[in-house]
Amino acid sequence: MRIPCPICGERDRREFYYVGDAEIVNRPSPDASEDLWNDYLHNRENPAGVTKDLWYHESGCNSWLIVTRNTVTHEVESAELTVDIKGDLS
Amino acid sequence: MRVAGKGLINREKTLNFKFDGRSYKGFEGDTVASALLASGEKVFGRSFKYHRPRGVLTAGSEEPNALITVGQGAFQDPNVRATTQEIFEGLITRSQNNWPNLQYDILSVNDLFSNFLGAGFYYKTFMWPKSFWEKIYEPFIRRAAGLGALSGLHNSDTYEKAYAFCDLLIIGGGPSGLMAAKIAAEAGLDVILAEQEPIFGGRLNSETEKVDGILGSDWVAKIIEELKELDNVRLFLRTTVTGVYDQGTFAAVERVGHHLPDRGNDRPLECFWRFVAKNSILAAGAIERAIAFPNNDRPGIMAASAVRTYLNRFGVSPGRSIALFCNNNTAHNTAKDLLESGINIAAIIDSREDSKTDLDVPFYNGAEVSNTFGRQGLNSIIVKKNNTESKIEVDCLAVSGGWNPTLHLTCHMNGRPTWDEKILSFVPENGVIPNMAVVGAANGLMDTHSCFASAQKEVGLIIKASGKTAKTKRLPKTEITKYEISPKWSVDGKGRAWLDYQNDVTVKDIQQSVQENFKSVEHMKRYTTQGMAIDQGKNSNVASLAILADATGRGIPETGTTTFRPPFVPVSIAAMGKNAQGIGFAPQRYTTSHVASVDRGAPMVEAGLWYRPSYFPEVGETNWRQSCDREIEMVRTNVGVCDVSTLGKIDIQGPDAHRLLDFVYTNMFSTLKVGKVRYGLMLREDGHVMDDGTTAHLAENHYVMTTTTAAAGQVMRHLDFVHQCLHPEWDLGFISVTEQWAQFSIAGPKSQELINAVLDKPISSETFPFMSCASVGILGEAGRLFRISFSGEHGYEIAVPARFGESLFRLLVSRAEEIGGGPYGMEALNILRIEKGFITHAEIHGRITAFDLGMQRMISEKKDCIGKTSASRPGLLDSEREQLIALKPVGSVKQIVAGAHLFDLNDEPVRENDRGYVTSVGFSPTFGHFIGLGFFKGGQARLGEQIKMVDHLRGIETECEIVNTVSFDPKGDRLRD
Amino acid sequence: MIKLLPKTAAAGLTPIKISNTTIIEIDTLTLTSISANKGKSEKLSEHLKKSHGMSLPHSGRASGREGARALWFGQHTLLVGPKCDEKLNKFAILTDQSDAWVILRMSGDLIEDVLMRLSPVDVRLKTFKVGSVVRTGLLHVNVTLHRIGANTIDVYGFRSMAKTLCHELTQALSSVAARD
Repeated sequence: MRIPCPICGERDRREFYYVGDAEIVNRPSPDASEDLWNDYLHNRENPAGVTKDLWYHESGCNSWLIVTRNTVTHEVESAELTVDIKGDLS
Repeated sequence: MRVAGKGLINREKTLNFKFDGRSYKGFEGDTVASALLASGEKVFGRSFKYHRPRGVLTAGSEEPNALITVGQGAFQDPNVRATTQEIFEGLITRSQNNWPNLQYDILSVNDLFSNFLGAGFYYKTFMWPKSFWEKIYEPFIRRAAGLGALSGLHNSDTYEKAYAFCDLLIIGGGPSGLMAAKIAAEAGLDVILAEQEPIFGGRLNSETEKVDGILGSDWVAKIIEELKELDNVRLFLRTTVTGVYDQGTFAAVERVGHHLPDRGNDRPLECFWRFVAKNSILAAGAIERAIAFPNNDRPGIMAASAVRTYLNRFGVSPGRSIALFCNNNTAHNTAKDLLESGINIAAIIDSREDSKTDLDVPFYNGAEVSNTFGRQGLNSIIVKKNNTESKIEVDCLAVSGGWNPTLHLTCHMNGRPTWDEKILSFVPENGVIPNMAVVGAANGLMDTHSCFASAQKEVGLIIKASGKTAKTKRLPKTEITKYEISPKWSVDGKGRAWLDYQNDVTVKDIQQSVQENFKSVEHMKRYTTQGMAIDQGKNSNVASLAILADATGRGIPETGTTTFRPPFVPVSIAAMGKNAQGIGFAPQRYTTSHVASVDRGAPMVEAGLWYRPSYFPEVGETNWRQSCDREIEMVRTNVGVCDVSTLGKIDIQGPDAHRLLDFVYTNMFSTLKVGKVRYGLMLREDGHVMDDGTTAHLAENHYVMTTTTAAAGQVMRHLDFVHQCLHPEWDLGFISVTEQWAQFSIAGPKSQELINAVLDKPISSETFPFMSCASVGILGEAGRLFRISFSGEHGYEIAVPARFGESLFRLLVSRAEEIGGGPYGMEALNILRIEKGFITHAEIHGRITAFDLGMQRMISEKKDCIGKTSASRPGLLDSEREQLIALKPVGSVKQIVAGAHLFDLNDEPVRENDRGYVTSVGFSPTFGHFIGLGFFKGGQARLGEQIKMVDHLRGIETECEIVNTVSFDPKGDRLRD
Repeated sequence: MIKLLPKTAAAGLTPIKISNTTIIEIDTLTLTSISANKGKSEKLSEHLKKSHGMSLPHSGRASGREGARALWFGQHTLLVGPKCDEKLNKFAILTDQSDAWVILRMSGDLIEDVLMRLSPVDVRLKTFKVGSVVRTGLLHVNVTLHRIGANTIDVYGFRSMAKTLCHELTQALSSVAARD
């Protein structure tokens, strides 16, 4: 498997650390409901098709990435920096 | 026998080799199979189940019969196909699966009982009684079955793994692959051409067909010369692409050393490649299939195409009088080529009613071979035409049931081949592997012109898509012959008709499988073991499906195929496991004091990837406990030096640095003054403890965090996660400085005296109280000093740039020794911290919370932090949770054992009554008995009570008292002193 | 006065020479990690140029020349050579990393063949050009590779793993040198 790191270019999956569903970047506020926290911590979709998950380019640029890929066709559609999605780290 | 004037072998160079102890000669370019056939050998091995004598069936990597063991001793390599092993001077080979020898094999008695040993025999027979399985059945089956054996010795061969990148990977160096490579390379693409044989050319080396007016093999040589001139094409011989993976990744095995007599120590035997290709072309050709007729497995019965390969490529005729049995026109070339070489053709038997031949040989159309004779080698066949049988004496029968495209790689990503009625075979599903085109015979095109044309077309599309222009327009001239075939899968008659030679699966086995309701192709495969041998059904699959389709009354397309999975050919575990054995299995991290510690005789132990000293033995000490006890006493009464550089150190700077610390630690850090250090606890978001450590506030907006050795990488990743995923708006930066600093713990009542011996400006307890930090000068170098303690003693950690680490360590140790101190190792460090109830990752094992540790008050009420919300869940605050406790023995048994379980004193020590377990133990010389840390349900409320520890494994039962987790100096006077 | 004696990261491990390919340690340089403050990249680049003669490098590149280079280093830039101008701390976080890295300079005909066996990246000159920097794995060790010349590549690895790095490079070098 190869992942197109926005900084380093397409790289072998051995360079990356895999976390799981990208949902984990949407941390609920401390006073959010128990259900919301429960979902955030434990419940994940398991789609046959397009999914977004979180990877860390540990042997490369040390960027956290959101990778959009297809669990059926194995296509990797895109990889985006989490900082681009969440904020403006320069 | 050798045929004069034929073959691509080098007759100038004779090579000597051995098979089953006998000496043979062959020529450079021969395989073991071709050289043995040239010497008149017929029997190459014994079949798997019935131990039937078997000859060679094919001339390629798909060979199911001629499996041999190559080499001796540690270099022994079993189950090598004799058809792929090139000979060299001194090569030693032997046959397999026979005893006492190939000619007289005791277990061939199985053959006589074959009526009882059919498909499903093992499943039905070895079921009852159950207790017989392990002791009687399994050992028996293991002894009887199986082919070659491993040596049992350490494999001392060298292997390699490697990566290569290209625009276009071409799999197969036959006519299609060569044409594609030439066009692509001339257009400027970066090309890798992989061919599994030792020479390029594929079938062109096996045929007498002319290309552009010259012999096919000569045309190949010309193209290869042209390709060698170009620097954008890399030619890989002896390289089989074995698997297709995501995003254009391919696995391939290159046999680098199998063909060489003396490889030396460094030359690898095999290289396991990962090719990464933007595009690929599969040009793997086709494999000829057999026809299942009674007794079709006798030595001397071979694929018709293999007979041509032996004749045209190796200059060998596998027989003196040869018959041909086929259902298609390509096989007629075998008779033609043999005749031209003066070999007698006894008959051509073509099952097609309307078939013809121009050759002057006995010809039987609409006929079939209904039986054969000759146990150690074919001597005659029965030809049946219009219910009339005639016996013909032959020593070789060339068989062709048509061709199967080598489409296996197209199935590695879920592709399902489709049935092509015209060629009576499966062809690849289009576009099933992204950016892969299938050309030539692999795509069902069975003549050379179509191969060239398809290669030109597909490679043209790739060139165009790459923004380049194809230069080669003209295709070489070929002799166009159209492939004609009619179905002929099997011949009825007395006697077994083999499909899968290696696993001894017959037509009858498949019919029986259907009778017993194993009708789906996947069930049939597992019931009969068809296709499960080394050749993975390359020879037998399609014919077996046809038989299955016939027996079930379904068509072949409805029957479908089993799934082809990687690897295409067997790959040695040693090649895939390169870099995963011995040194190189994992990196070894060394501290700067490593050499100095080893010099003092310290045994080094692994701590994660690091190596740390276990203890420092002194003269007269005969076991580790003596050294460890002395070192503990030394620290408690004097001073000790220990390398703590392995702890993770993260430099955090920026105006928002304190926000990060407040967010990842449970306790408050934004209130920490410059020049101070604080202990912090880090949680995972689920409320469990991730790590702990101290963080020092070195200067305005500048902190240094320490992590445990074990979690250094995890914490760094965690900080990056928090910063990049949750709070990218924070203005801060951090970087690991673990490698930059060599850091030593100095602990004990005399630690201040020792530290002042190396500081440029001495400190005192007043100027540098407990939990202080500062940048300091250490013998003129810029260093750092922290007053922290992991031992409970007055202590410091002193850091210098790593280049000075060894020098400082040696100096500190020698100065310490002058005042009665010295170095201490991990064993002493561990006991010192257990005496103080300090936790490590033995306690922080992933399932404990701050509450469990009695540290819930460290979760600040004034701010949010990672894990805070989850940690407040009622289940994580239950008073019956397993909580941190310390233990001391109080009964007659004095030993406490890590991993032992804890029970209430009067409970029976069974699982249902389990209340906890021991995590850390050691003998405390300070107290004169064992002490331990562990977890016990509701333990914090049970202080002073007696419980029992049971180690069921070692049979130790110890009565213990739950004591204060801080056994030593509970008020902490010594470290603050 | 007693002085602390320095010891280099690969002391006793280099030089290594097999066939015409050599590995030596580069140990005379000051290394400073530079991380721009929020929104200060351009200013930093300007002042880096003033102080040390090179702009901030683009991703996957190095700027400057032998003796004073700036290497793209993922989340940071690594100033290699000169002692870093303290004034740059107005625009960036500066961290001394002089002792954190071992730098092994590999020169010779076999450098690409060696790295092909250890790293999952394309290190051929036509794709990994002179002046390029790549951060990747070398077997199990994280490294930064910097192409210095047609036949020269610098390998930056953790100081504590210098021995492992030398071992892996030597083994791969012996293996490729033993081919034809």
